[in-house]
Amino acid sequence: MSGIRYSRDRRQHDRLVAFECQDCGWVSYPEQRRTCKRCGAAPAEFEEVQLAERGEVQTYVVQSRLPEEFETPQPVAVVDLPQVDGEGEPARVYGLLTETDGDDLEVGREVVARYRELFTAGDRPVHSFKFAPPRAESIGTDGDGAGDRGGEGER
Amino acid sequence: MVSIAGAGGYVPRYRIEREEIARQHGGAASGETAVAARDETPVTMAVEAAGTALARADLRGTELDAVFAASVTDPLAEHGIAAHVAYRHGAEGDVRTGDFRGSPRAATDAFAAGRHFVAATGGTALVVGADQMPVEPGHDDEPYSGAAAGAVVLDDADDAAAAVHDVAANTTGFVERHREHGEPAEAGDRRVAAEMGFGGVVPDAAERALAEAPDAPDAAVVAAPDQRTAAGAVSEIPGEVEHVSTFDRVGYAGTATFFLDLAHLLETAAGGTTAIAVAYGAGGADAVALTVRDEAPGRDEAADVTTVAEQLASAEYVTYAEHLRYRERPEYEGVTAE
Repeated sequence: MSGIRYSRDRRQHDRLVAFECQDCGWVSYPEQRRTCKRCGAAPAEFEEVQLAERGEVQTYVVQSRLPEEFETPQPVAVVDLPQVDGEGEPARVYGLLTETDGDDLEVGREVVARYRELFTAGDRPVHSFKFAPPRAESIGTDGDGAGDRGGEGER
Repeated sequence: MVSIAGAGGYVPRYRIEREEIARQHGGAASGETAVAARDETPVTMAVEAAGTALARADLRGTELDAVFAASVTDPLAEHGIAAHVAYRHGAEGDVRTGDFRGSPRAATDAFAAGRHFVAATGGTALVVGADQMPVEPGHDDEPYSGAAAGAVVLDDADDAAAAVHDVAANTTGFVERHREHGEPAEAGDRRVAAEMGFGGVVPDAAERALAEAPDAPDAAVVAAPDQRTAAGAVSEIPGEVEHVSTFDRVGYAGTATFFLDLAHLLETAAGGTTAIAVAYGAGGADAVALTVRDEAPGRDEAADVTTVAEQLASAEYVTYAEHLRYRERPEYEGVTAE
């Protein structure tokens, strides 16, 4: 994550670090807040927690009309990402999906976080996490399932 | 002895069938080529491969002492890949990073730097290569210009996935194939290149790399921009050598081809296999000699990672128009540099 604006949040966008309210347990991602959005504690005491890279879709919508720089249809979802130590509440995370057919989505579906270019700031790429179904689910769906040892090309 | 503790490859999900490209411009081509999605960059692909290599090595990124990255297609002249991969995986502070570029041989330059680092410090180094080759509609290279990443974790453990016997260099200064930033390559005269370039340097580098190996090689990885050149180089290596390659499913992916094919070899070779891994680039070639260890922890199935073979088998085919569009850098309206 580069650039002043985005570097401040690079722990969240590069490592899925979130912030847990020590009063009520609500987990904020990616915002690092001073006030707890749920219990209203102000100033709230937040502790850093590490989110897992695998979560569950809570709700989603497939967008069809977007500016040209976005591929459409573009699914977006709210995903619950649990804490990696299995403790506490999951973070409720809003994110784009990548390489995902909207027909393959449903509430409760397992998705994984994929580190991708979110947009550019000038020429500089800004990376963060999108979501996609686990790659292992699509093994053999289109390819022939064979590894290539000793393959001969045509050139 | 420096060892490969874990290796991993990353192949983008999108592919184009080379027949689809041949239909647009004439000719014939078989196989398929990996196409990076619009939101994939050398950094994101390197991060994916590095994550797999770390999982195989059963290491956290925080345990890394160095990260070296190779790429010949990073669109930014100053920005780098290594430090971004390091930070993403938790390596920061007293971590040596280095970016290698300017030649596909940067793959083995980075590998050699990692090996020297481990030998000198006893630390652990991650080495990655990631590229998405540019295309020009109708250019000879269009059907074979792929995208991928690969990574290895190097340490000095005696029970790691593979023992690295040596890395030998053969620098000649001869350059035929060359490429401007963002442009497809000018291959030049292939016969001259084969005679004075690849064919002339690989056997010597391989022989010297294998001098300390216990056996003659059973398998070889040769990263070259076309499969005929790679196969020719394999044929120059003495003995019966199996050519391990992802070219028919991925195409040529610059520095990534060396690491991706090496990861594929380590995932599929029998214990005890001695192998030679070669990268050729402007001005010479390098060869890495290694032996795959039996039942090495780094070759075990690691949770949440996919093998190169599994990724090859997980594909979604795109149209010719999508293949071109995915290689264009999107311009995001309303987002400006701070």
